[in-house]
Amino acid sequence: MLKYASRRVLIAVVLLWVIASLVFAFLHLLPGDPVLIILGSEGGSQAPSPDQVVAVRHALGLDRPLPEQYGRWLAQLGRFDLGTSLYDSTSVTSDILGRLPTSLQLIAVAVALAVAGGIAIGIAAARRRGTWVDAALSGVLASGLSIPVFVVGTLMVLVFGVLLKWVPIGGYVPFTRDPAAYLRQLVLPAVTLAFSLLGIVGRITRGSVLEVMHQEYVRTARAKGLSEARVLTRHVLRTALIPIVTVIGFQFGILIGGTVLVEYVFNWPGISTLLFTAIQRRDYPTVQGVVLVTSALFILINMVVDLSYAALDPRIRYEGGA
Amino acid sequence: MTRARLRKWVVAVALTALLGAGATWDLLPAPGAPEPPLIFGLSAEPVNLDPNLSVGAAAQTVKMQLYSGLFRFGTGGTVQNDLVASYEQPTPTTYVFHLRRNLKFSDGSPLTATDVAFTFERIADAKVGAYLRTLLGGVQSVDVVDPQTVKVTLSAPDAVFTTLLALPQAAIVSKAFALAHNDDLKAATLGEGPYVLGEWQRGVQLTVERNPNYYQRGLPRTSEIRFVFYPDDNSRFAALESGAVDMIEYVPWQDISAIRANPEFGYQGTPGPFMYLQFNVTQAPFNDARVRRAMGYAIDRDAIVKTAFFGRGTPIYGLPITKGNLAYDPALDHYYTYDPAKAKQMLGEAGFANGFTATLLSTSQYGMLKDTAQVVQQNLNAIGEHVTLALPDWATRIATGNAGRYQFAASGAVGDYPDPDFLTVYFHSGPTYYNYTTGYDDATMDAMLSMARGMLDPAGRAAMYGRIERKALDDAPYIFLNYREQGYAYKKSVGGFRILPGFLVFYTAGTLDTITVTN
Repeated sequence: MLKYASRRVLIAVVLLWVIASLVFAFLHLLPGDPVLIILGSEGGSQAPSPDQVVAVRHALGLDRPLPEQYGRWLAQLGRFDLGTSLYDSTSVTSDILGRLPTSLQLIAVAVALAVAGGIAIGIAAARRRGTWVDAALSGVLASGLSIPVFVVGTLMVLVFGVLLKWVPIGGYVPFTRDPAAYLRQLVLPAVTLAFSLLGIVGRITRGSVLEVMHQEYVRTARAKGLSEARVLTRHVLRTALIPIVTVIGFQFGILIGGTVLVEYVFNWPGISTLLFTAIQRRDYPTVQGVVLVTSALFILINMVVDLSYAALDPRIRYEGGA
Repeated sequence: MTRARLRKWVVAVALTALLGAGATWDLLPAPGAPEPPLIFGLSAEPVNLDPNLSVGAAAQTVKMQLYSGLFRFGTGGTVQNDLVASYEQPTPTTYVFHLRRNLKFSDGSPLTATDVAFTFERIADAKVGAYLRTLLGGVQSVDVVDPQTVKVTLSAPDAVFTTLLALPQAAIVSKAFALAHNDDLKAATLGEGPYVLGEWQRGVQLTVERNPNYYQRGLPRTSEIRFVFYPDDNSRFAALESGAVDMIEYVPWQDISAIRANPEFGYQGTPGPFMYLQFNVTQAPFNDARVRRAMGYAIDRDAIVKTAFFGRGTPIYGLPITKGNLAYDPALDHYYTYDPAKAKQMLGEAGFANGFTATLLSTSQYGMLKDTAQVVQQNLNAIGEHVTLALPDWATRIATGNAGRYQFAASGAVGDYPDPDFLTVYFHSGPTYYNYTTGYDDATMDAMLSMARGMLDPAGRAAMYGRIERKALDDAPYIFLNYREQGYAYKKSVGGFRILPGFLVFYTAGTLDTITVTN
């Protein structure tokens, strides 16, 4: 188990280096020049003078040969320093630390809601397969899958924010400052995000439960007189959970850095918006930092998911240990 | 999973749902709170707060609360004294500025002539990247006469010098503070404006609070402004409608009619920014002025105003110079018309009887630029041309334009100041810049523009601009299309707001100090 884990960590480090190098290369291949954006092409009509372009480029170190910039950046990474933003001289690490937790909170709550709702709907639909209940629930799941998140979000804002005025239409207050306000602000984005996840989780659950329900050991469990609830929780769900957990882990990873639309519509200050604006402005250090950190989390989550299989299914053991 | 664990899990889910439902209580602040803040829906998070840089209108709105300059634009758009009490111009190239007495930065430290001189140096320093460096390039020397008096010597007379000093990018910074911060004022701020920076919650909002050392007694009238960032047009508008903010900028065009009809809100808008086609005059087909002039007749400006701006705009058939401007000439207002048959005929005379093939550069990142380009494409293809669109993201659009790798482009801009000298950046030769024509380099035009800026007598200037305008329209390195409306909407509880007219609309934020908010 330990050997397995340490090998996974080593692979993860190599993967991160590959990702870092690819991001660096692609970013610098992209057309677009941050120096010109800094010098006013986001809002001014005066062209910067050529010597200003040269001087600012030099001050930011962007006039050095690419291999040198790459080497400097890797050396920085070795010291766990992600550099500073080209635009506001703040450290990328602190920008990410400020934004990542808000994203993770939103994703965690959305995933929790989606898992609770998705598993419940999935089981209900599977147990009444072929009935109108199944059709109705599958319809809900399909709409969760197919309606784009910005449509759901905008509708939520319109109905619950503007028309009913039940919840604020967007924004963010730190939990530590005002827990009630924090939760109010969290509702709409979390539900919006959960709705699309609900489709995925629900459909996987329905399929997985259907498959397991016809296994012989389930029939045996029923035959020995177990209550239906006990059959479901102890025998059906436990086996059916493996593909569900895989999907949840995968979706969680995708969402880190992938919630930009929800963050944008609800003004939720997460890491996706940071990445999005950084790409638009060609803020190289910020883009590189965010991609690296989100990739690291993605890899980490996948490792946790792999390890959780062993807990869910006694037949899965790594390297014969544990 | 045991039954006990399942139960725990169900309870947890139920609790979450309850918390969500409970979250609907007390949305509004307690009534009767003294001095409500102004909550302003800003269209973007400021990129940084260096007052001498230009990084977009949203950042400018915030910076104008924190900083003041020697002059300012008052309501109506005239240049007024701000930090200067008075000034003399003993010779055409010398200005002596007398600062107000007892000026202080917000931390209480004195603001003196030394800080003014330092600001001029800072703007001239290439590595700072100051926006006005080229425009203020005529400043030869700045002398501190005494702590309250500064003498500025120019290399040549400059009709727009005080106008330039009224631009927000000419804000005065503290020498001691800048040096203490390694001249990096992107995040660290010390100004003399009506407000001081409160808290900046990254990605969420930025608060400014009343500056106790502001020189104008009784201002600002509102103790605090909370700028909440709403980059999404729909969200920003919904924030106003739902009552989350008191006021928004950049009212989306599709919502202007609705807000004007709604008695709960006030709205003020002005035509100011404008749209145009810019040509790369070094490449066929637009290296031929006849082809460029034909474009002046080929484009249906009304269609652009309707489709890209929901009717909130006005066509331009000449140059973007309006009544009231020194250089306004009604005879030039309709230099072009919408006449596709005439355009077709002119193109035939220029050797393109079977149509030309060209790519129109714009961007997919901003709807108004994309929509404008699409109308232009349709108009031209309808008369037999073969126009394709290139719609990269904005950063790529800039890079492509700066490299001159395009044939023509659909662009939008605003003049920096209402003086006709704003034409200089459009028509004077210079390095290729993404927003301006590529390759238009005319010695006569250059000379006339420089002369007009150096003339201090208005009648003489007006005559000179008359010649410039005729040549600009005839050479046609640009075809101007339309003004677009720029608007602010606010709750009826907001009082004292007055939008600045025309090009100055983006400096309206400089007048927020007189706004009041009632409960």
